[in-house]
Amino acid sequence: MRDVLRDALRGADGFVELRYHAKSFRSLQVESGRLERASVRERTGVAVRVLESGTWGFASTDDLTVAGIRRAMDAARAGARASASFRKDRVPELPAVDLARGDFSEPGIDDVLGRTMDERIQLVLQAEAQARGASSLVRSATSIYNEIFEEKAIVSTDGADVSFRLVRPELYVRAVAERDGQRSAVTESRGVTGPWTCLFDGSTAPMAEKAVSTAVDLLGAGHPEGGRATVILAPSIVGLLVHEAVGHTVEADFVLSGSVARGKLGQRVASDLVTLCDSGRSEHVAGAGGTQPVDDEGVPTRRTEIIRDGKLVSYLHDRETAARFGVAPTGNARAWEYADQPLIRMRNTYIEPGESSVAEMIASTRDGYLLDGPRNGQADATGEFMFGVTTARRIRDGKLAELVKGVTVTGLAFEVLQTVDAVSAEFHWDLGSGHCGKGQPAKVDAGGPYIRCRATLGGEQAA
Amino acid sequence: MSAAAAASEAVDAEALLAACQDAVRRARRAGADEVEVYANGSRKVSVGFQKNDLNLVGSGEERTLGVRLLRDRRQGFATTNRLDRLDEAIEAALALAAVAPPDAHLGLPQPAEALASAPAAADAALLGDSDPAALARLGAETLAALAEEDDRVTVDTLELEEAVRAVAIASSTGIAAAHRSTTASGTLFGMAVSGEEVGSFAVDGARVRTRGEFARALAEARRRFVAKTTGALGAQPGESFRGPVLVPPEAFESFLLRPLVAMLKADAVRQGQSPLAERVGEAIASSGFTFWDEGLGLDGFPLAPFDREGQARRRRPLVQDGVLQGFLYDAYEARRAGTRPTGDATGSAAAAPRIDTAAVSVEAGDTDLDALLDVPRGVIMTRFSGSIEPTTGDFSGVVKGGFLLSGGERRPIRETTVAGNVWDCLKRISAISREREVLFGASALPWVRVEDVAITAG
Repeated sequence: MRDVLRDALRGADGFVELRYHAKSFRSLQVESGRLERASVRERTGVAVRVLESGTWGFASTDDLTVAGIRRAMDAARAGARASASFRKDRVPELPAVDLARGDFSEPGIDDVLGRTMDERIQLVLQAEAQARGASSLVRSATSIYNEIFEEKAIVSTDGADVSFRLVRPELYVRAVAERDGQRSAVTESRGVTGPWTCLFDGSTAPMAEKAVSTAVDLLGAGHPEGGRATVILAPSIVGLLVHEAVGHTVEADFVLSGSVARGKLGQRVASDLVTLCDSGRSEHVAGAGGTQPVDDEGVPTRRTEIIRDGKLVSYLHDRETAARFGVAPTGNARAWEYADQPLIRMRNTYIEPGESSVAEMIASTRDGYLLDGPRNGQADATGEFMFGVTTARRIRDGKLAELVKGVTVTGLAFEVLQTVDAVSAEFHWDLGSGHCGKGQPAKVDAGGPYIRCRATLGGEQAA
Repeated sequence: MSAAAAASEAVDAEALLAACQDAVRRARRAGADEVEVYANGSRKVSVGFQKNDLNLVGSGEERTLGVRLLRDRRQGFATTNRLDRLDEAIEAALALAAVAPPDAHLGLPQPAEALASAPAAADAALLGDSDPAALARLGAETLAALAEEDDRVTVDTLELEEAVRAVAIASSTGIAAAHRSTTASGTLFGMAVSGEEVGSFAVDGARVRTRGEFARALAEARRRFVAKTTGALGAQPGESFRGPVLVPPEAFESFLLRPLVAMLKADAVRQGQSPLAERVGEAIASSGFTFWDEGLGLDGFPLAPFDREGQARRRRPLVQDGVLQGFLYDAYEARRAGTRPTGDATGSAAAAPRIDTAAVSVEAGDTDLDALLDVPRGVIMTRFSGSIEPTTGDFSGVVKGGFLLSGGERRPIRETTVAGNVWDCLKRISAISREREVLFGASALPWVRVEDVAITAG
């Protein structure tokens, strides 16, 4: 496809960027032994972005011929020209950068695409059956398998000439348990960039059994007392914290709008045990769900340190914000599908592992909670975050005690990170399923070690 | 129809219907027993502002066809946005059907007996050529007016879009329907910044059918946006207590109505997930609560008279005076339950039909908003950011952009969480406002007061 894009670009004036994006999406869902949904979706087209009269013009087309792409180029240029007078602050010249050239592929493509549809259906039927059969208290079970395969090619007038392919499978198992009229529901999920061996290790049974055992355990659980508490966050919650409460506030477009990270470069925002990064590669452990070799402006992705030893040292950039800040782009421009414009998005965001063991961290906590399993999470421009937590286990006198449910953890990210006093060596990616939303979805991952800090728990109040 | 619209096959509803009918014939020839093809097409022009300035002008046009077929009582579904790959999509759907487990209940629905005569949903002005410069001017004027109202407000993004959309459906059982609509929509996202202080972010916007309504609707959204963003400045931790939360329309929808709709879906009932199963005729909410499935759309924002399966949409009560009236059915669930579809199959051609409401309303109550807010101590939950498990009803989350009402005073709060159970909250609605707001053309909702919620300050 790069040949077609090069032909379409021949003779183009000014900055023009063409992005071919073919995406196929397979989805299977089983409930109570029945295949409820099975679909194959393909969406393919070319996006055109031009920089004209100091502003951006964008058009998309599903016509993959040179003539069709050139019509879209004309439309993008015409839109930019017509509206340029309304732009006050013209887009600066984009920074010179070594744009990617060549062909790249992430691992796992042959493994996943080589599976038959029947294999995929059997996988999802089996996972649901394992959950349904794991306990007599299971009222219903669900399993979902999604698979995204993407091919992209990016060619621009200033040197990008690259194509790449990747595959992202994900699996969900959900169990609803019921006893004496009380219900609890738990979802276990995993999403990766890579082969099935990254997704589950030989069998889906451990995932199904964990969903069921947690749902059953939660049936008898009470609610926590609300208020400030010492908490040990598992990698899944650390992932939410670094993605939602820090990552979004350091996206340079959001910084320019006035996020809480604005003006804080060089300042201490976390304890010196914290080094926080975002990377297009799968650091430390293979298969991270937001992995991609090149961003959608043709900039090679790289590991970017956002916080180093507790100090804020970088934002996340596309080419335009990099020019405004006078730094190199960090490879964070991403578009969900061909008809979407690239936005600054995270890839794989994490805290670097430390030296403590999880057992030591628990043993040295007199009164607190071990929080694991995100239900959801959101953060604000202020850095205030909210995460729903699936399992919260009390820690009393250095020992794990009873489970509590319905826990929400909240706080101001940079305040909470300043209280980190222990970081484990154990590291996991744990946010690869689902999507991050910012006007358009993006596949991302996040994770890290276990960390201990202080935060606010939402809970019950006496009347 | 303007020359521009006539030239655009993507939004020509009759051409889309012809494409669907052609695809049905092709799939039958390829070996499908039953076939349904749904298509949607769109033509859009958009402008995006970032950081209080124009960022990007965009345009695009696309058609998508979704093929649902049955072979030997096994179902397959595939979709493509490339008509030149339609045969490959049909093959993909057949391949899926070949390995899918059989289901005796599967079968495509018959044509609806009669579709409601819905008001026109297409505006002649929007059907003509879109002018990106005019849209950019409206955006620039919106930002200028916003800065004049309060220069502490910073707009992270303002997106404006004018679109023409067409949908069509054809099936081997004889369904054939098409519809075209127009929308003008805008969304504001941002926060207020005062010195070193950054306020909680806020979202507001408008979606209307005609260009003539757009500027006024956007101006109303802008005023709400200013009030939300600036109101959040100066927030301090709240207080911990059990008491009433005062819920504006936006939070009412996300906090109480979405979980309710999720558990009204017939598939959730069949799968044993819904706690509302077998409770039709029982009180599930306070007696003043009446909730409508607005299948044909709200006043001023009409919808296509047929759903994603070509079945007739209609207006019907889901909860009346607190009493559960019924569930939401597509053709499959209706067949399994021995009833008729309710016209609640939704979704685009890019996915197989799902059950959901297309528009909803809650009837206005008899309490003035001022009286609803008149409590000794309570929290206004401007936005709910949290998790809700509809199966159990348990929720916990943070109040965003909220206020503490205490002793006749009102002050903004932060780091304040709420926790409880949605099903309990529906029964603890103690007041419903006379005033209602229409949210993005899809829901018309009042404020509600919910008693006895656990509120925790950070």
